Amino acid sequence: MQNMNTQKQNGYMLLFRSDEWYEELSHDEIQKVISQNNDWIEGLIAQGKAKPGHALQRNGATVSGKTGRTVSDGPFAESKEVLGGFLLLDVETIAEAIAIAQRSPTLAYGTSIEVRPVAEECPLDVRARELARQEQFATA
Amino acid sequence: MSTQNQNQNGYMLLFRGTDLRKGLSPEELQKVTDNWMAWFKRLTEEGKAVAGNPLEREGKIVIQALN
Repeated sequence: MQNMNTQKQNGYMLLFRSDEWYEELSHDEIQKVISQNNDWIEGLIAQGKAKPGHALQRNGATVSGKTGRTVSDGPFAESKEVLGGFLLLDVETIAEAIAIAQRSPTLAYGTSIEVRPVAEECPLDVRARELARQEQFATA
Repeated sequence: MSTQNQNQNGYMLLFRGTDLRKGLSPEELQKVTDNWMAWFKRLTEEGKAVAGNPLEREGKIVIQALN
């Protein structure tokens, strides 16, 4: 696992997973959460720490199999793990990204937030370079 | 859902199980990378893909609010 102070120039992706907790709330309660959530996100955008994110609809399809022929409805192992939205943070350390995630108003309703560094480059390219270097050593 | 549904806001593709680095030769890996880049470039040029980023495999999960 990376050092908490590792710097990443490309920012961090917050991935929000939850069940449909909002189905249980009253109109007043849901308005309150919406307002808190908007304040949280707009505050981050105003500070230049987040780009506008998006909510994702819960339906969808999954394409898999080596030829991509398998198409199934839905993402969905368990409803509480469905990806409900994302937010891209423009901050330099994962510690700051985590601190921001910890202030998300939806955590109180059981949402989990995955914090992931956006990669400098595709892992395939990195691996291709490693292999090329190994071959160079082997032949040197 | 019906595959005929329209969505004005676009679609998000989430790639899982992308650790296909192991077990590939450098040539195979290069081919996969080239194919991927060509695919993504074509979609971008056609105006069908907006942006994409790889994510590092490590990260953290936050599940409890600070009070």
